[in-house]
Amino acid sequence: MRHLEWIARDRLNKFRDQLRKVESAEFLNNSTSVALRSIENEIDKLEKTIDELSKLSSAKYLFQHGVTINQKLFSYSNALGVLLRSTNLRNAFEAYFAFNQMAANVIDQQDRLIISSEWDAIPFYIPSPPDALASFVIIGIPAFASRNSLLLPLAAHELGHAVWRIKQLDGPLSTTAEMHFHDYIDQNSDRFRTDFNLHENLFVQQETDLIESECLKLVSSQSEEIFCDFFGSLLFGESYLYAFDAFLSPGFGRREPRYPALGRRAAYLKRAALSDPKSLRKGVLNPEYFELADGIPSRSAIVKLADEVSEKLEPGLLEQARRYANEARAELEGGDNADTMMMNLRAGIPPDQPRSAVEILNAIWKVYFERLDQETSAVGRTNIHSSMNNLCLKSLEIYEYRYRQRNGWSTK
Amino acid sequence: MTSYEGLADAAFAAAVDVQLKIEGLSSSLESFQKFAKLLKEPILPESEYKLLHDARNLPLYKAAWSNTYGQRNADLKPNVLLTKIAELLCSAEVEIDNWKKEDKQKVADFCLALNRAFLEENAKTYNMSYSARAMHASS
Repeated sequence: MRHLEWIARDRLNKFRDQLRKVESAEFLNNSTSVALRSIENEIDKLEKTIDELSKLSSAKYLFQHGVTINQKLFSYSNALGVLLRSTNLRNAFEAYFAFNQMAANVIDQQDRLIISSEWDAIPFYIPSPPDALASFVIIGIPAFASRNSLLLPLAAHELGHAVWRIKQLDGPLSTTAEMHFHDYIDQNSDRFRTDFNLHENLFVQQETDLIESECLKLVSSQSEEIFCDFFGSLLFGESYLYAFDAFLSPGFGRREPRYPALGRRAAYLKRAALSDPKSLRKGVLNPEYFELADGIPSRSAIVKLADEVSEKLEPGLLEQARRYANEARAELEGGDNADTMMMNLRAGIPPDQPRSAVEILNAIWKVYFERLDQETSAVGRTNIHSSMNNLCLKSLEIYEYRYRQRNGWSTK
Repeated sequence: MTSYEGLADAAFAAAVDVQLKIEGLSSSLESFQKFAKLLKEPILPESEYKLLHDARNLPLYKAAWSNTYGQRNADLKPNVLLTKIAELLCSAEVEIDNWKKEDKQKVADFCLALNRAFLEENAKTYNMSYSARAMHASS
C-alpha cells in the first residue's frame, strides 16, 4: 500500500469514528441523523475511490484524491461540530418539531433543519454548506440564547436565508436591481458625478462600471437581509418584532453596509408585521434609539447609493417573502383559539391544543408583557421570564404531541 | 446550480475514467460522459446559458487548458476556447477508443487540471462562506 493511500484511508476512518460518536448522542433529532448519514455516504464514496485509484500506475490521481479528501474533511469537520452541538441539552428541543415542519413546508424536503446551540455571539446560518449537506438548513443560535424560547422567531430570519439560497431568489432580483441603478444615475446624473468625484474624471465609464459592480453587490446582500426580515416578521407577526428588539436593541454602534440601516429594518418589520403600527408595545423598536443604533451617520457614497437602490426593491421582496411565509405555515386544525390559549397562559397553564408555534409565540409574548407590567423588580422580572420560557417550551411540546396524535409521526 | 465541489468531483471522476482506459483497465466512461453532459447543462433552470459558458469560470478553463495544451492555445478568444473545449469533450465521448494514447492522456490530464482548478475555487468559496457567518447573522 502506498504511503499516501494509507494516510487517506486512516484519515477517513478516524473521521467515520467521529461520525459514529455523534450518531450515538442521546438527543439526536431526525435532521441531524439524516445529515450524519449523508456525510457518511460521502466518506464511503471517497473510500471506494481509493480502491479504484490503487489500481492505477500513476500516483498523481491518488495525490489529487488526497487533496479532495482533505478539503472535504475540512468542511465536514465544521459541519460536524454544528451537528454535535445540535444534540446538546442547551438546545430548545421542544421547538424542533414545529420549526422542522415549517422548514419542510417551504423547502419541500423532510428533516432538513439543523438548529444548534453555538458559540458565535449572534444567530447565523451556513450559506453554502458542503454538497453532502446542500439541502440542509443549518442555523446556529448563540449558546446564551438557545434555550430562550421567546427568541425563537429569530430562527425564521435564518430560515429565510435558506429559502433565498435554495429557491435562487437572487437571480431574478439582480436584473431589477441593475435597472434601478441605471434609472437612478440617469435621473440624478449631476448628483452621481459629484458624489463620486466624476466631474473631472476621464474614465467616467470605467469608474461607473466599477461603482455599479460594487453597489450591486451591496444591494444583493441588503436585499437578502430585507427578504429575511420580511419573511420572519410575516411568518411570526408581532413576536418576531419583540424577539428582534429583545436580541438587538440598542444595536452594535456601527452600520454594517451589507445590511440596511437598523432604523430602516425596524420600519420594514413594523410595516410587514403590524396592521396597526400603534399596536406595538411602547419602547419596542423605538425609532429614536434605532436611528442612533448604527453610530454616527457617515455613510460613504456607495452605501448611500446601495441604500437608494435596495429601497426600490422592497415591494418585490415583500411579495416574495409573503409567498414563502404562507408556504411555511403549519397549523393544527381545530386547535384552541387565541383567547383560550391566552387564558391558560395567564393562569400559568400551557394550552391544551395549541394551533401553531406562531400562535404560541405571539400569545407568550403578550402574556409576558402583561405580567412584566405588574412587576418592577429585576428578580421578579427574571422569574417571570423564566416561567414564560418554560410555558412556551411546554406549549411547543404539546403542539408536537397533539399534531402527531392527530396526523401520525410524519413531520409534514 | 452545480457547486465547485460538484464540478471538481465530476472532473476528477472523468479523468479517472479515461486513465483507467489508458491503462487497459475496465472503464465504461460513464463518469466522463456525465461530466461532459454536466457542462452542457443550463446554468439556471429555464436558462439557455450553459454551465461551460459561465463567464466566471473562464479563467479556470484557461488555466486548465494552458496547463495541458500549452499557453499559446489558451490565448484564444473566450468563445473560440470554449468551443474547442466543447468539441474536445464531445468527440472524446464518441470516439476516444480510437484515439492515440497521447491524445487520450491529454484528455485525462485536462480533466484532472479542471479538477484542480475547481477544487481551488471551491476552497476559496468555502473559506469565504465560513468567514461570512457573522455577515449572515440576523444582526
